[in-house]
Amino acid sequence: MQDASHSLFALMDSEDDDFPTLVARYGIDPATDLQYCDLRNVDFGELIAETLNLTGSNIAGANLSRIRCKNVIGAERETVAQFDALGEMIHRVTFAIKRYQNSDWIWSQIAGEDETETLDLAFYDSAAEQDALTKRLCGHFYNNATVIRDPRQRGLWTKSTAGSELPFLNFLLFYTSKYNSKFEFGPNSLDEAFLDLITGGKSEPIDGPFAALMAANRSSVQKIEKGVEGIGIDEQRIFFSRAVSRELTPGPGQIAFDYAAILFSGYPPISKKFFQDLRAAIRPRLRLVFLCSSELEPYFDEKEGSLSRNVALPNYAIREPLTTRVDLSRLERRIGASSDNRISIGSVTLAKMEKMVERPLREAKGELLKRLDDIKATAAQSRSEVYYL
Amino acid sequence: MAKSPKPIRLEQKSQSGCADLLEVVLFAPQGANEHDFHLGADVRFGTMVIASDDWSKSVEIGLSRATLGLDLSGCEIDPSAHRFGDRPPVSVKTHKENRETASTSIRSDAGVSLGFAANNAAGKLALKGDVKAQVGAAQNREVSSTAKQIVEAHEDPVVALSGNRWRFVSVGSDFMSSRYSGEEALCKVKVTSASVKVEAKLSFYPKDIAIIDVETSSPSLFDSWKKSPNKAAIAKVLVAKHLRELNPLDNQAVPIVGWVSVLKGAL
Repeated sequence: MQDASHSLFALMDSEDDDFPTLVARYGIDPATDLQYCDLRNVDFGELIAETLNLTGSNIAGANLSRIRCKNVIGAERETVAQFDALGEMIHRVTFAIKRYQNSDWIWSQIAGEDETETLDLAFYDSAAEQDALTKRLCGHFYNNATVIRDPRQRGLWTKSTAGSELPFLNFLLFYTSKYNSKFEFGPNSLDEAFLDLITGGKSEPIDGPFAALMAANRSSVQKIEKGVEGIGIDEQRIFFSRAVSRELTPGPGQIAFDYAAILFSGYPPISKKFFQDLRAAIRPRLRLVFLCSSELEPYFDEKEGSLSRNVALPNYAIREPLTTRVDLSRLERRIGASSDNRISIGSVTLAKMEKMVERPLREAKGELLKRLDDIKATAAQSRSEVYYL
Repeated sequence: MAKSPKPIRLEQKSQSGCADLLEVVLFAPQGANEHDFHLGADVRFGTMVIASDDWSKSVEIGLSRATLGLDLSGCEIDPSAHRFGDRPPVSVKTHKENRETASTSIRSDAGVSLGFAANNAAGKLALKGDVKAQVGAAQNREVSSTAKQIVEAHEDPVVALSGNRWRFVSVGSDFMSSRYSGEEALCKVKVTSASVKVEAKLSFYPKDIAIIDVETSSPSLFDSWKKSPNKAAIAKVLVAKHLRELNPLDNQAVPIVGWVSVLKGAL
């Protein structure tokens, strides 16, 4: 058995996809080993080398924009620069398609079902969309919330809100923009990421028309954040669940809530174990809504995310978004905007997309990404000013 | 009576570098004489399996392209004779076909239906069907059109090139397999010296390697390689390095020499 074959089988087990990392790990010399190779569509990333020799290699669609090599042989600097612009543009368009979400659909699905004991997961694609969708959903939940004034906290509330009482309500909002996606998609890692945001006091206030209710929510969330003790993940899960339960339990003499809703915006979904702890601690029927970054969407994909769905909650409780004509025009605009109008949807693809109306949005996005891959493979050679998907 | 030319007895020796992937054996199908001989080359391709130490993982590879190069001493290829794989350039044939179909169905209140179809081909409209009645308002109308462009491209598996070379390319598949040459002579060789030697090198580049299949406990691995251009490229680079490591002929050269066949003899 020779060294290169050992590397080949080690590559099979590797999760890493970063080209410079793989080159270094498997002892590939950029000065000699990459000649006459098939390097189509390779993203060279930030490859650092004295000499990069690509003589005779097929580098159509490759991204050489970020390499840091003193001598590049076999690819003209001008070509590298062209790859730079082209690769970046295709990357931007890919990102724009992948992250697209229909917030109207999400809102209608969540707001359309009242007082159901469900677990909802929806995705936003930008901070602005997170903000807008959270506010819209807050409006819905506040409008439908059961509010009880609690005399126990009169003093505290009087001081901070100029005479008003602290209301108790059956809705809690956790909002953060401090989301960090760097975690493994496993039960413990998800819960750690979630509880890090909680114990780190990363929740943020949100503006809106329900000032008094939002102020009450802020007070409750801060109390919950402070109420999570312990170092171990199991302990913290239980402390969090109890702290939430306290904030959803009206004072003595008050009628207990029979239903409560919690919206986590910007927090990762939690594990099944965590959900069980939460469910055991909270008496009312419970609805949890997670608004997550669309970076997490692939983990919940119908086909490829099945493994992750088994370890994490919530599952897709809302129906999978279906493609509408509005989605198509929005996607068309996004593609144009993210490529400075150099990439458009061609008439053939457009006709095909029309047939995808009412089919899952995931499929429509997948079709566009497939077309984009075709462009990626041929764009470097065709060197057009305008490309059609 | 014409004097018959003196025969030359030729001996063939070969050395393999990547025996499973490719092989070439030179021969003179009609024998050789002091003036000339027809040179044949039996060229075959196959696939090769690289397995891990414990046989739990394996990668099957093949070649999508290879080049046969001849090095001659004491003889030369007859430039006037036909070579196997000689293909005069031909103009590319593009066939465009535009077909538009429109169909309309009209239903009357009484449920009687009437239909006709129209075909518009080459600018001429031909109507088929029998229209028997005039009906007032169309209640249901469907129009569909299709445009079809057919490009006819022809690719030869063997092409004779300049510089005493022949190129072998997979056609209709990602990799080459079985016999590509040998049934007819490669070329005619003129003898110019008392001692002749023809050396054939069958070689390929790393980019000609095709990964055919990956056997592992994770069935989705091959798909993940297909989806990741970075990993697929690294895999092919490592396969090429492995083939060089195994190759006794030359482990540094580009292209990689997979097989050498030498045919030599003297008067």
